[in-house]
Amino acid sequence: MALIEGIFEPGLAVTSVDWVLNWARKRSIFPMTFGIACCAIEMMAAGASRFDLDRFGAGAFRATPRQSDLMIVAGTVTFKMADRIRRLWEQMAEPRYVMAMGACSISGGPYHLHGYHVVKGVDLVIPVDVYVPGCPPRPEALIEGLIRLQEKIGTHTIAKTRDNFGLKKKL
Amino acid sequence: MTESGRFLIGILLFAAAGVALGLGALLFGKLVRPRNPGGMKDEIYECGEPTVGPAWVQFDLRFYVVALLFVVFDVEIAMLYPWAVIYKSLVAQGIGVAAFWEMMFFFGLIVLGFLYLWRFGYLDWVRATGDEET
Amino acid sequence: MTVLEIVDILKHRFGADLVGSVVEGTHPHVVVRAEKLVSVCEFLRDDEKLRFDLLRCVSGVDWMGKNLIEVSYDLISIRFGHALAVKVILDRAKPQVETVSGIWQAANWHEREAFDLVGVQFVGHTDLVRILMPEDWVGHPLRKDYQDPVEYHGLKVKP
Repeated sequence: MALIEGIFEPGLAVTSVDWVLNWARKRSIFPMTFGIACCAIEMMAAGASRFDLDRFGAGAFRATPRQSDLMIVAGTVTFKMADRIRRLWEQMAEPRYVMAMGACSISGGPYHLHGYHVVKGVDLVIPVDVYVPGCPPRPEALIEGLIRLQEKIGTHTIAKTRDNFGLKKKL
Repeated sequence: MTESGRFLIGILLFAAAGVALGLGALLFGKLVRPRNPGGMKDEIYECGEPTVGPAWVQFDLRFYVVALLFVVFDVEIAMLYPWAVIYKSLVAQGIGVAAFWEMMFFFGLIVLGFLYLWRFGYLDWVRATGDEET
Repeated sequence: MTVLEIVDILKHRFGADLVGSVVEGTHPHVVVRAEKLVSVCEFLRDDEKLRFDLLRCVSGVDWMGKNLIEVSYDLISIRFGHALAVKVILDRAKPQVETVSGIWQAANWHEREAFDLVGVQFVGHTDLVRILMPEDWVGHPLRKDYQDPVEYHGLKVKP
């Protein structure tokens, strides 16, 4: 929880500060390059010139979890990889978000029934904010997922609400 | 208020504004950022793997040799500059030849050290191991 | 060279060690005794007329009904263009065969996969550990009697 969170009642000043903070955070999302399988190709295409992610402020892919806001899990999550994904997510600094890109990270994808080595959805490992279906999703679909995430970031408030009243709520 | 007094106030205000801008940005960040330390977040990053051993290892001595050589030659060049600047006036005074050979003597000593290092392989990046040297 | 000629050469050289052969169909192969696998493979690679210099695949097959495990090595000659498979039949309770990674480097990882998924032990392999499943996984997934564990490291395994 931030120092000014959960102190002030909702009001004009608080919502203005909210607006500024959310605007700053959603217009400058730094994704972490987490392309594991084929969806990585579409993520690269989304980051390249035709479907530019940089025009949404989200073009600066960081290789390290320490500097990134968004982990785009693009590809099949195997049991071998699951431990690493958990550790990397824990090493990201708040505010952090996760996008499950592609059928494999949503629910196991084509390996859902018989995949002995596949985790059936990355949400068994880390909490997911946005799901982008597709196999692989087109770059436009990934961009829509990013815009939905931006809307989700826009709903964050620092005001004292019923949910965080007196409690330390994790972001 | 005197002119230099006003000038001083201007400089002080400018410096204060600069410091305030930097500290203000840091303060704003401190207020609005979430703070949840602990857990796996404090672990050293190694692409998702747990780390093996400490990160503070002894570093390669080849870097020391290169750095040492650099310092020696840098100081030598620092010595060469004033000599080069007054050389023309020394020639005019008639002691140009002596000045030249003195500097060559100094330079020669240092180059001798350099040649020693070079010939005995201390500058090779990939060195032969101990048991291969004769 | 046709498959028939290659099999003839092998029969001349190895006689009784060649337990069977199939020359028609989609997967022409010879079946050899497991103890003689390395000498047969060395001959196949080094012989002037055969020169099988590329190992394409090592596959383990679980015949639970017959209580056997079969390992098949798909070979191809880049120089001459002919292809052949070599199979060994192993006991399902203790499937063990010598490694051919000294003959073809490609066998190194393929044999790790056969070990990981079917459970075949390759004697003499330098690094026989699991390659697809995590290292502390229990069981060999491509065996016919394999059951998924309920959970692994806290993760639910079945959907």
